[in-house]
Amino acid sequence: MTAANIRGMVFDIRRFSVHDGPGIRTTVFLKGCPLRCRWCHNPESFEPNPTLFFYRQRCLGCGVCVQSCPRQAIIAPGIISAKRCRRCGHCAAICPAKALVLIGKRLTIAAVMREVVKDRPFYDRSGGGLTVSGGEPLMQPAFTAGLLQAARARRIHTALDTSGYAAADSWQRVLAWTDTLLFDLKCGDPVKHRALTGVSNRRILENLKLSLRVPQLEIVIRIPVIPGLNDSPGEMLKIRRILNRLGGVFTVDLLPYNVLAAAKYRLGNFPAYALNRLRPPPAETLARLRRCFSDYPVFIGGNR
Amino acid sequence: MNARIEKLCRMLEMRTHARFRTRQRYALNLSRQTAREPIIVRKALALARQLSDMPIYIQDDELIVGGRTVFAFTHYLTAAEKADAIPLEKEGYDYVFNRVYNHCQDERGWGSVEGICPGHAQVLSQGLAGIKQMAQDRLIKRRATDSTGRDFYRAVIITCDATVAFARRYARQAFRLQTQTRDPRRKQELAAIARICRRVPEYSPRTFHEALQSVWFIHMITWLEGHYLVPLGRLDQVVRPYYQADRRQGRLTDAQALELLECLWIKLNADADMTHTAIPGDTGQTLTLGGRDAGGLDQTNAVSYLALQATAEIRKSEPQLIVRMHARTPDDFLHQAAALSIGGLGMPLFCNDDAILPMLEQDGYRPTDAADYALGGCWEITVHGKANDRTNSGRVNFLRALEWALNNGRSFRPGLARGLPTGDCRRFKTLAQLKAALKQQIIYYIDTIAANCNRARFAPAPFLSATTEDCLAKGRDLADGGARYNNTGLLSSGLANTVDALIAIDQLVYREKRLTLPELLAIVLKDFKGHEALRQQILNRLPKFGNGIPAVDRLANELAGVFIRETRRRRNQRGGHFRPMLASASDFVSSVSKLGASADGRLSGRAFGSNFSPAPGNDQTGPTAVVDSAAAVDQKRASMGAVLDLRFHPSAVQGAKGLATLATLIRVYFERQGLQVQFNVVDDRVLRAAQQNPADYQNLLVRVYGFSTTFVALEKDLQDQIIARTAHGV
Repeated sequence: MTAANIRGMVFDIRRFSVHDGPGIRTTVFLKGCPLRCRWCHNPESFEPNPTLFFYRQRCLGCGVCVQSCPRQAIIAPGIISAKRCRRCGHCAAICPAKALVLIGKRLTIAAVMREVVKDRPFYDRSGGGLTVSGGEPLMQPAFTAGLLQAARARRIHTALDTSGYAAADSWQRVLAWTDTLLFDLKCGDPVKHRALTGVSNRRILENLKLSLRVPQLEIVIRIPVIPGLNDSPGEMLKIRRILNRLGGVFTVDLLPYNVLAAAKYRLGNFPAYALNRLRPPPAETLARLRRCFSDYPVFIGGNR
Repeated sequence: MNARIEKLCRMLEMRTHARFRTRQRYALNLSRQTAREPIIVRKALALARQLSDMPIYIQDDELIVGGRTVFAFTHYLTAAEKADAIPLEKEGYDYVFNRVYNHCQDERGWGSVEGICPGHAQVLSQGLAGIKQMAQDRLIKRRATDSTGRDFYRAVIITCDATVAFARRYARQAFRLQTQTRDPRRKQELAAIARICRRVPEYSPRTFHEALQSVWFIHMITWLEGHYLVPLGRLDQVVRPYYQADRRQGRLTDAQALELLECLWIKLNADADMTHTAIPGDTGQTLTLGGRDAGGLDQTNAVSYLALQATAEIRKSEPQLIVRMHARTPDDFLHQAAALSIGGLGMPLFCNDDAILPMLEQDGYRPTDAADYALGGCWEITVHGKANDRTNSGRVNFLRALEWALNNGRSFRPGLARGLPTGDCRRFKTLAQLKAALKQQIIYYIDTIAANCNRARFAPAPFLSATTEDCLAKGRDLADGGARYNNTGLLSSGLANTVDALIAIDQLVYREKRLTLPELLAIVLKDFKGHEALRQQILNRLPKFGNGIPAVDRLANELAGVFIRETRRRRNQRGGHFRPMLASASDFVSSVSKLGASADGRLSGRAFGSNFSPAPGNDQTGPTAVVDSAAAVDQKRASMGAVLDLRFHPSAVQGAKGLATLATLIRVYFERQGLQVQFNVVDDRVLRAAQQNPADYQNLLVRVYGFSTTFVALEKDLQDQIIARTAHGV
């Protein structure tokens, strides 16, 4: 199997991404994530397999989905047996109003690159390129590495947006083709990190250390600012101490909490969203937190 | 913005200037003697009457003075002339094939010369005294032979004298106020104003201040002569020499130059409501900045930058800024211009010199004239001071042509004009056959409109003609073929929805064979009643223009190509030809009440895409894909303009990166030979809030189809259409 034929599970390809790395970019979102961050605004990225979304307001109640289902998993429009449904996508393919949407497609590297090259003139002028994001792209290391390599072969700038939670060998393999690393650091304390995301940050920090050895890799530390969870200067100073100890060249993005997250949890078969009444952090908080990183260039909202 | 400008802005918002206006309508005394004068002389006398009688005013702190205080035009027609009216068509015919005589008609239905900028450069370099001298010289030479020329030159002399006298009234008023005021600073300013108004526009200005005052007098008097849509042309080029001379002599600082420009901007806004258009803000007061000359040298200069700055500070819709771009336009100029768009002003409209100059040459414009192009009322590409291009004389609606093709020449709604009987839709066994019928309808549409345009007649325009070089040389009024170029523009609308509808027909009828064409037509004629699932399927599942899908974009190019080719082939009655536009003007909302539903899932009565932009909400693949689609439509011969609208959510274009992002989109689109692009950067939530509480959003500006205007002043259907447009980058 040649590299171009490697398939990966992709849940979105978004052209004109301007918040995920330098310039105008195309971001490829890969499905599957080992973390369960409590504020995650992409719940459809959790599972490595396709996910079925149901948009209630769009549904016409026409019932074609009920007839189309080979496993009789749809009892009535919008009432879907999670047990019986195998996410085959028959119903989503036929739903006239796109009320049912199957999230996640297996695509080859070649197919993804056909989309990516479309915006090449915009990358060239703006200093943009390809960003591989997720989910956690390192859940599909061969596909991610293949994509980044294919982009670099075409002289397209590459960025990787990752939680850093990955096996060391996959990590190094993928970084070899990465120009800009968008590295999420959610919390400095290992115990608290587990409470917020479901995993410890030990392996994440080891990988960050490894990435310092990759020549010419630009590293951007991205910190989601979640009110009540990690928005205190104390939390930020912990992260700063880690960065100082590593001694690398970093820039820091502070990403304010995204309020739109809650709505998505109602579309699929997800656990209840924990942060329902959260408001985004006020500008004063962001300004205060920004000062915690006085020795690093800081950007708010990933607009650089 | 300094204290003076702040104060003048406050006065503008309080509309203090409006109290000087009068409702009086002046009539020319048509005594036996005057009635015997030729019509052009009477028109000049009517303007002179208005200029001598109209109230004048100078307000505190003003540096540029003058303003229109009457709206109605002076009567000058005799009873016999009034009877010589162009018969109006019955409603249905008239609507579909357009009120070609356009706005600002006189009692006979004769149109005014519109969308033409007076030749400011000519007036500045010679002064009206020079122009009058030239007219007198010619008058002596031609006295015996050419009565048309003789009448024309007499009319020119009358308007020149009247204008100079009008400026003198202002000089006297300034002098009077000067003697009354105690404030020594204002005393000085008024003395200067008195001096300036005695100098210009009679003589060539000596300073930047004089140049701007001259431009303003000429501009406002053009409105008074009864023209509709009065652009300002390439002001940054026209006044550059005066700016440079002042700077060299150390007479002027940039802060003072900016202040003067801002004073002019305030004047343009003060009188902006006195126009005949239905939509507030559609004033046609475009001002074109930057660009390159025929040799490729960049013409952007300090005044261009100051003009952008003035608009950024004043934040009002006038003047409607246009930026000419080319490969070597300085990045900082582009960024400063893009900052206006991002700042939510809906301006400027960006134009691509590298595509437009060769296109104009192809269209018969001399290279130096082509390089001097500026825009008419909105986006119409013309050459001021040289051309009388009747810019928006008629409009072709692709959606109506499709109705005719599907319905054997009948419109979907009863009582409206018919197209050609191209046969029952059962006959169309393939998409190609349907397309052939559609093309026949488009051609018939163009023929009918072109014939109608060619019946139009125009009222004389002696004042505007006096500022036009060729008119003076030939002794012919603009309305009488005096200009060097005399072409006619045709608008087009509904392209994107028509393409989407054809794609839907192709998919459902010819590929999937889910239903026959007559069956689909019956559903569309019933406005999709009882077929919502089918409509949703069309809306959600079928490819649409604006997403960079090659097959769809090719179809758009094919239909646009038919319109462009056929329009260009037709000659007008004034020795010119027709020039096509991929631009809709207000048709995308104003004609919806006369259209049925369409097979793209659009219900009847719903607006469609503005200009040749994607149908609202159908561009779901981001702005780069919109650029792909738009660039796939060959605009090289859409010689009077092709306008793409893009809307962004403010978060997509924030900060320094936002400027670079917008600049990239413009540069890439123009490298791919796109002609013109304009942006709305505004959040849906803000627009909805403005609909709820208009009082809190008096200063919210949006781009409509070719101008910026106050959102809350628009009719609700237009507001909704803007909200419905896809906001990229949410």
